[in-house]
This record gives sequence, C-alpha cells and structure tokens, in this order.
Amino acid sequence: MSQLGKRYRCEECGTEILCTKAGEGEPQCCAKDMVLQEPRPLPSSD
Amino acid sequence: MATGVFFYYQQGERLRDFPQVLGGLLDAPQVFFYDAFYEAKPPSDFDLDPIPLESLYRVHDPQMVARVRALPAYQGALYSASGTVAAAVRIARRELKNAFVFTGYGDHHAGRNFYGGGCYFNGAALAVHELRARFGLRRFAIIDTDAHHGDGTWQLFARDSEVLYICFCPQKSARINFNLNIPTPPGMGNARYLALAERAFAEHVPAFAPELIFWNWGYDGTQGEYGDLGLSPGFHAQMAALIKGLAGKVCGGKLIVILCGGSKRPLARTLIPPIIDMLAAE
Repeated sequence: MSQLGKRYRCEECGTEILCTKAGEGEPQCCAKDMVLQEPRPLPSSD
Repeated sequence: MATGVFFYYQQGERLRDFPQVLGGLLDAPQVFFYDAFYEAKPPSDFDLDPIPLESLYRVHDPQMVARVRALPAYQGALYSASGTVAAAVRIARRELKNAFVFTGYGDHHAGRNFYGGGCYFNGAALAVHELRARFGLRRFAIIDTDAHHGDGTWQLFARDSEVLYICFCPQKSARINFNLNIPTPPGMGNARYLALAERAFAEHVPAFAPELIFWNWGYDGTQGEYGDLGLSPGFHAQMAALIKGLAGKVCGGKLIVILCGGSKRPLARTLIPPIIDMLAAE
C-alpha cells in the first residue's frame, strides 16, 4: 500500500514521485515496483 | 501561486502523525512538499537541504555555532532553520507565495551568542540575511505569537530599522527601535488577544511596508499547554486568517509560518492542517 507523504524512486530510470493520496496499490515505473525512500528521523525538542 | 510545506522527519512525539495527517492537502496542485532527508539518495528539487555554515555565521557567533554543533540536537536544529531559509528563497524566486515550516527546534530564543528553550538557530533571522544577501530584499516583519518572549529575535533585530518585530507575550510592554513587545496576560482569551493583535497590526505593519512577513506561530498558549494563555484551539485559525489577510494587504501575500512552541500531539494534529489549508486557499 502506498503511503502519503512518502517518496518513491524508480531504480531503472531514476524517476521520483511523491505520494499525495494513499491507495491500495504499489507505485510502479518501468514495469517494476518503485522503491520507497526511507527518511532518517532527526532529533527534535520533544 | 503556490504554498510550500517544509518538513523534516523527527524522532519526537509532537509531529508523529505528520505528514500522513495532512491527508488530501498534499494532493492540491498548488501545494508543494519539500522534505528532508534521505541518505545515499540522488538529489531532487524537492529536497530540504541544510544551510551551509557560512550562512549560520551571518547571524550567530562562530563559537556559539561550534557549541551547538557538538550537541545531539544539532542536525535537527539545522534542518529546522533550513526549512525557513528554503521557504524564503523559494518565495523570493516567486516559486511560492507562502509556506508552512515544520520545525523540531524553535527560533526565537536563539540570539547572536546564546540559545535556549529548545531554540538553537534563529531561522527567521537567517532567512532575513539570506534574502538580503541574495535577492536584495530589505524590509521584513516578524510576528511572534508563541506564548513566550523571543529574546533571541529581540536581540538580533533591536538595532535593525528594517525589521519590524512584534512579540506578543506576557512580559511588560517595551519598544526598542522597531522591536515591540505587546503584553498578553495569562487568561486573556481569544477575543481580547485577537482585538489586541488587530490593533497592533493596523497601527504598525502597513506603515512599515515589509516585503515579507514571518509568523513565529506557537500553540503553547492554548488551554492546557505549557504557556497557557487561555486560548481555545479555534484561536489559531482565526489568527491565521488575520495574518494571511494582513500579508495580502501589505506584501502581496508573502508569508512564512514557522512552527514554534507547543507540545501536545493531538493539538498539532488538529491545529496544523487547517492553517496549511488556509495558506493554500485563494
């Protein structure tokens, strides 16, 4: 399932997309599933 | 014109529901989302990149910067301030009209050579200097409705006659140059606060003619928060409408909302999306 606000990247052509509406499917490009770009959370004051 | 949302992923509790809770807001064609950060990833135009050290030195003493760099908070503080600078640059380039900046560390207690209260770098001040250096903009207004006095911003602009700083907080009334402190006694409630703000804006902001407005927005004055001023949650959307209208009148709508104080996760989830929605509305 796609995740709102997350970025996905096509490892074939380099296309990068931002999910602006979550849905059941997985984003695909160049006939392959795109790869979720995982953030590394940083510290905050709380 | 477009609205930018600047975001970095945080370990803390307050923004744990973001960006998911923004829901369909990110789907709006005029809303652009800039985030940080991903390791070993090719760069994109929508990366929120950290500002360089040279930019920090325009505002902060190098020894203070060195002290902050040694703290665990450094990266979070850097990305918090970087969001404000990135938003300002994109507004100056006319890519955006306004922006909302998510921060994990605040701005207004960070001065030239001191920091505190969860504020390490002064993002608004860094943005002012960036816009002056790169785009020739000169005049700015900083409206501060965090519940506490912005001693850092106060220090940084006390001698700057091209920055109007209006700080609403419980401290006594004060004025130095174009720094104004407007007392907001605890328990004053929505109506009195809004009336006070409306008068202050009308009296000072149009005549000053800023080219861009920064709004240091804290929700720590909400009932039950650590700076409780007796404000209800509904206060913040009313203040957002007031300030957006003000920006529309005086500087073509150029406005950056910087998330400052406030601790409760449910309030963040309730209060932030309507403000972004309001920024994005025509």
